[in-house]
Amino acid sequence: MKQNLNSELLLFKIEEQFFALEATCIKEIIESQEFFDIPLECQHIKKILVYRDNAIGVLNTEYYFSKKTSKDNFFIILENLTAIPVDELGGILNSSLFERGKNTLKERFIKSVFYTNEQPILLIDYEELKSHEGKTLIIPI
Amino acid sequence: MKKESVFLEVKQLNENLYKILKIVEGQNETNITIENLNELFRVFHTLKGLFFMVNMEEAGKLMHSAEKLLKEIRKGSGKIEEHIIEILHTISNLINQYYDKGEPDKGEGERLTEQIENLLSTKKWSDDNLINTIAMKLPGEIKESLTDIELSRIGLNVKSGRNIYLANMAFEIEHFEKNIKDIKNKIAKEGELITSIPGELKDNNKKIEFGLLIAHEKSEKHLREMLNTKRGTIKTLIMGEKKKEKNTPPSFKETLSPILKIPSEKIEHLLGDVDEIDDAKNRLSNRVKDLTSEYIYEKLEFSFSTLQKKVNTLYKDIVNLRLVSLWPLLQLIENTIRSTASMVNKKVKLEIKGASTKIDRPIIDILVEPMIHLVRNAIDHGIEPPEERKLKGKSETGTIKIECYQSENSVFIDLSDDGAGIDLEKVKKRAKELGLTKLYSKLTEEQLLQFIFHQGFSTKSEASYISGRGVGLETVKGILTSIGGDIYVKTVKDKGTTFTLKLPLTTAIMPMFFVNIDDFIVCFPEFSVEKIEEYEETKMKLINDKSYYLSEGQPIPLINLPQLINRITLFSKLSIVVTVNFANTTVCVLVDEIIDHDERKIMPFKGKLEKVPLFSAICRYSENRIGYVLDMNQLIDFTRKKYETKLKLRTIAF
Repeated sequence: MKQNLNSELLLFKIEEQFFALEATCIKEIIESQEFFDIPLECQHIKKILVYRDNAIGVLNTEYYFSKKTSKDNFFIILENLTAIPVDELGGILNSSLFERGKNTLKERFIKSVFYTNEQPILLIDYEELKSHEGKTLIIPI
Repeated sequence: MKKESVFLEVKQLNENLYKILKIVEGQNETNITIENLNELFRVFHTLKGLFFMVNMEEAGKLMHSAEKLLKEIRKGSGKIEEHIIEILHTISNLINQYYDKGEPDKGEGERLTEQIENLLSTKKWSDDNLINTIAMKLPGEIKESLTDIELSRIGLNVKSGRNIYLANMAFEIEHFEKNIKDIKNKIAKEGELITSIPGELKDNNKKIEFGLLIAHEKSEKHLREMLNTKRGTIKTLIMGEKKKEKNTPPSFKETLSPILKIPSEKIEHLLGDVDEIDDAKNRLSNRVKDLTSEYIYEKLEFSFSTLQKKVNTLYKDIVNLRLVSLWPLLQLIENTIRSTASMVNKKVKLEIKGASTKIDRPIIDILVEPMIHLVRNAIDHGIEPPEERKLKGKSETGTIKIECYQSENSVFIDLSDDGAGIDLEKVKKRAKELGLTKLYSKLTEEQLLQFIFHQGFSTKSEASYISGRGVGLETVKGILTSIGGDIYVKTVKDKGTTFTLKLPLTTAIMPMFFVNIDDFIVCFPEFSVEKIEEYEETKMKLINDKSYYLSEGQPIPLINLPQLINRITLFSKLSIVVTVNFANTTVCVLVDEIIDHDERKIMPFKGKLEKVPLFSAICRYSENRIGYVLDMNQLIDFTRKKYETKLKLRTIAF
């Protein structure tokens, strides 16, 4: 999906790394809720979160972004009913305020990199995140 | 306005249209109430506007023609003949296609428009005699200010026994609209406001004089009291021809209770709010537990438990808001019956009872396919051709009866036909061919009939063996059991067949068995559970490297659930076997232990979890624990694949 030149971005931190998400793909931000283990072994989903009478998956940030949350304080609920746990929340800022850098990370789920005071902000590729499917193993012995 | 919002409105109007048509059908041609005609006219008028709004010209033109037809009926003899009702039903059917498919069969709208236009041009609609007679009875100045439609309406009211009054009144201009509305409401039940005739302005243009032409059943004195006419006079112009019959047909407005339209998303939103309240209550309870002494917490526990009960009641009340009547489904079925019967040249009539029975909205959508399967089979293979029925001493017209009723937490739909019935001998023969009878030494009629729902029992070529009863019945049963419903059948040779569909009132709350697997709680929906027993190692058999469990002497595929989800540990008890039956397949499931049986609200998997294998939802078991609801469809599908192939490991993406 082509990113708008001046899109509103939500900034947040996971393991001291700044990330950004386009505000249009965010449904809601909620504070720490009760969450539960998933009964099947899978790498991409960390937990199950009860969100407004639905059971939704909490993404494993280590699997997607190679960063681990220290405490799951806040959850960004995405439009496709999936939650990203974050350590700290920043504000919503216009992308024009940042300097666009070259994406040298070649991370699958990172669309581009912005800089502010030489600090990199990784813009998450929502479409890629949405379409990705992880795997689980069933052992019918 | 978005097309979806327009279609939502169209759908609701079409439901109303169907209801009015059913009322009109039940009325004598000459006895159709003006209110019903007006309501039909209004429905088509609004539909016309909506279709033009979304640039659906063909549909808009059709609605316009229907509107013209009703306009003529309103001012003419007042008769809606059978073929006109037929046309209006066909239009209603076509409207279904407009919002289901976006566009119906090409040219169908044009064909119907042409049919109506032909009808309008060839038939003499206006009853000139009636108009002339009425005109002669009215004072000249009033007669001149009335249109033909108004004169016809006066005529129809007089014919139905209503008196025609002229109420001369004066109101302040700023309250005019409100006062007229009040009058309309007051007389609506037993009369009709034909028109208002404006008069002169008074009191420095602050007041306006006007005449109201009213048709009413009651006397002049009664009307005077009703309207509280201190500011005017009432004069009788024409007396009604006859007294109104005691058995007045119901008007549309009388038969329908006020409907509050709530979009289903709003109800889902409310359910979400209740869940958040529930969650907040749990967190508060935990926090209080942490911060206070056990003694104080015990004192507060009763309040928390009361709050929990209230939250549960609120949740159930909101789920009840989602319950809708079976009307729209039956409308669709009626249309299917009409089209199928005409395709196979059979005469079929439909009798419906209990159409206002309510059920959860999502279930209605699920029911469409099974119901269509059943009625098509009944017409195609159950009901005999007219000649054959005549030879059997039956009426040439076959009857399909649909009776809906609620009993406790289930809704039942009996679908009967008076056709040839199912040939049990042929069912037996077919069951033997498939090796299904081996398990039984002696078969009861009930057991025999259950075979018709068996996978692969019938194919199209075999349909004629058993009056086509097997076509799609496996699918029908599969769909119904997937939501916790079931289907039963009874048949009498040459008398007919009755299918009884048992359905849960809602899929939002479900009774379940809770079992332990490692640290997890897994829930078996009650509808799928046949038996729960302690595991006995001697009953476990290995046949071709596959595990079976002997249940009543028969080997049933055995699934080790902890092993299946890779949750087997040294501490796994594996002490209980749960026998489940779903979609005509029986499977034994080995679990650690059974811990509870209770009713719980279901929270479905959404987003990335929608494709999670084996589980479809969660439910709260206790304050801090949840249960994972087994998806029986997937479990059975998985078992079939495992026992039919050499599948050992399976990677599933989600």
